[in-house]
Amino acid sequence: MPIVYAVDDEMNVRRLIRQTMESEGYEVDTFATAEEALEAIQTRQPDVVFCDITLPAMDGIEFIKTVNEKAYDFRIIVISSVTSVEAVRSAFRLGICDFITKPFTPQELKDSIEQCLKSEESLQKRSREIRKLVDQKKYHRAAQLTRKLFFDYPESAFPHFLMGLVEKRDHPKTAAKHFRAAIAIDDTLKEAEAELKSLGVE
Amino acid sequence: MKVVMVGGRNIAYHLTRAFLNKGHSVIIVNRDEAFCADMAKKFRATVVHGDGSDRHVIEQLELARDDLFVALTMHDSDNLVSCLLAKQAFAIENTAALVNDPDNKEVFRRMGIHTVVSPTEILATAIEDSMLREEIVNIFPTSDKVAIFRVQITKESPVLGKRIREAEIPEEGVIGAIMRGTDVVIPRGDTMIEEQDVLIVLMNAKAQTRVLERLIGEE
Amino acid sequence: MAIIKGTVKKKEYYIVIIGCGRLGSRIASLLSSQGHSVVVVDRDEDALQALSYEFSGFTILGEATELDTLKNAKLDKADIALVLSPDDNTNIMIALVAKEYFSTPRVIARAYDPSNLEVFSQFGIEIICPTLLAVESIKEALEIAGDES
Repeated sequence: MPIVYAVDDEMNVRRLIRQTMESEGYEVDTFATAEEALEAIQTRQPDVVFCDITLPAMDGIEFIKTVNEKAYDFRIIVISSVTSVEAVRSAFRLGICDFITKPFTPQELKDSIEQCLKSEESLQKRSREIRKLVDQKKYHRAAQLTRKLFFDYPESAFPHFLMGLVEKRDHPKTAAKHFRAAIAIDDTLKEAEAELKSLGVE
Repeated sequence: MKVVMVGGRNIAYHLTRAFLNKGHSVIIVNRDEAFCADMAKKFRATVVHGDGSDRHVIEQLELARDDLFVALTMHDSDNLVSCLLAKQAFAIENTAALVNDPDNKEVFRRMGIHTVVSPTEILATAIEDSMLREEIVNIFPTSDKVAIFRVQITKESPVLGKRIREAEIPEEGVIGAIMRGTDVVIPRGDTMIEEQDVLIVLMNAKAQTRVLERLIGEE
Repeated sequence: MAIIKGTVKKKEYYIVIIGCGRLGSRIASLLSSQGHSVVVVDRDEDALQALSYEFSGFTILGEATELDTLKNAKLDKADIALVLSPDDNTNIMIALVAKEYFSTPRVIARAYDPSNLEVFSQFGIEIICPTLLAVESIKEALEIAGDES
């Protein structure tokens, strides 16, 4: 039975998500803050997390970035009343699965979670697999999977970063291009900067 | 044919004048007693003091199918209700309504109101056009099929000095008339396009850009 | 959870309520306490604030006569629309928009004036007329009194 977490500071949003998801047979846990959710995730990982962008202390975007850094495996669905194109784009660039606007209908929740559970494994899981292949020097296969990642997450920095790792040994100039591209999309990727430095180029 | 006008003040006044001059008989329906008294004094029209969105008021009007029913109040909702009542009571086909919120045009059309006019939209289009390029004036609110423009030929125009049949105007556009000074020229294949000519062009709405570019050059 | 008749059977419905006056706010609290997803739309911020503590749904501040407001409320996804502003003709227009433009399955509007009832029921919107309901209630009350004497 899939486990669902919901992170939102509004009680009725948490209530609605709990109600709808429980009636679909999911196990649900809700949190008012991102910090509490992260604590719970450490003890038990969910399969899907619904989260808002505006939260009391740590906000939704920070939450997603932290989840990415720790390479957790679950899908994230953002639910927010913030609907600016910028907000949606920056969320999708971080690799979220879906974005629902408030007010939302029970049906929207159901459709979204169905899609997200169905679709391929998370960006994080695939990234890990690619990195393992690079460590094993299986560059050809790693490149193949990375190319698919580009296709599925066109706006994300990760495919660029991973392609950089893949090309690093044999084509350092190409690798540098990819690392630079990754940093251009997301300048908080410290690893990409470190890799770029280690190549001896700026 | 009778013309019924519900609501509105200035517009109702001027429309009444216009329709009476054309020989139609006019019925004015208005909630404002003073306005009604005033209109009754000024015009040979039937004036009804009442609420045009009240079924009883409408039903007493004794209208026929081919009469014209026009709703002109400041409230879109009242206009919609009046027109629907008129359609229901007398099967009137020609209903017309003023719509203040341009978004409601679509709604009114779907409800079967025959003519829907949004002054806001007309003004917005006119102002936008005047801000764009002065050589082009959109004469008609573009439907999705046909667009009609008034195009002024300037020195930069690619078709200046050419005969219509040599001008390579895309086949989706046709020049309906040329206004030259105070004359109107109906163009033929050998008509030459001169500077300062104002062309009235009909074009397939989808090909607007191509046709206009050919006539006045690229932006 | 009570199933609402006349609609596709669901466990929870998405209900949009236009107008947060005495009637709107009470119905909103009732429906949300029954577990439905409720959105209340009103042009007046104070009216939305006055929603009872028990109300657990969404609120939208805006003019319900504007399509944009109705789109924000996701009326296209609503199972039921309740149109309860103070003005009859406004309610009828919004109800027609809900029915014809957004294809809402069930649309209920309040109209105080009984005259226009029949005309608008033919469009598939249900009209609740407080005047007529009051007439019925008073008739009942008087008849009962009459029987006893």
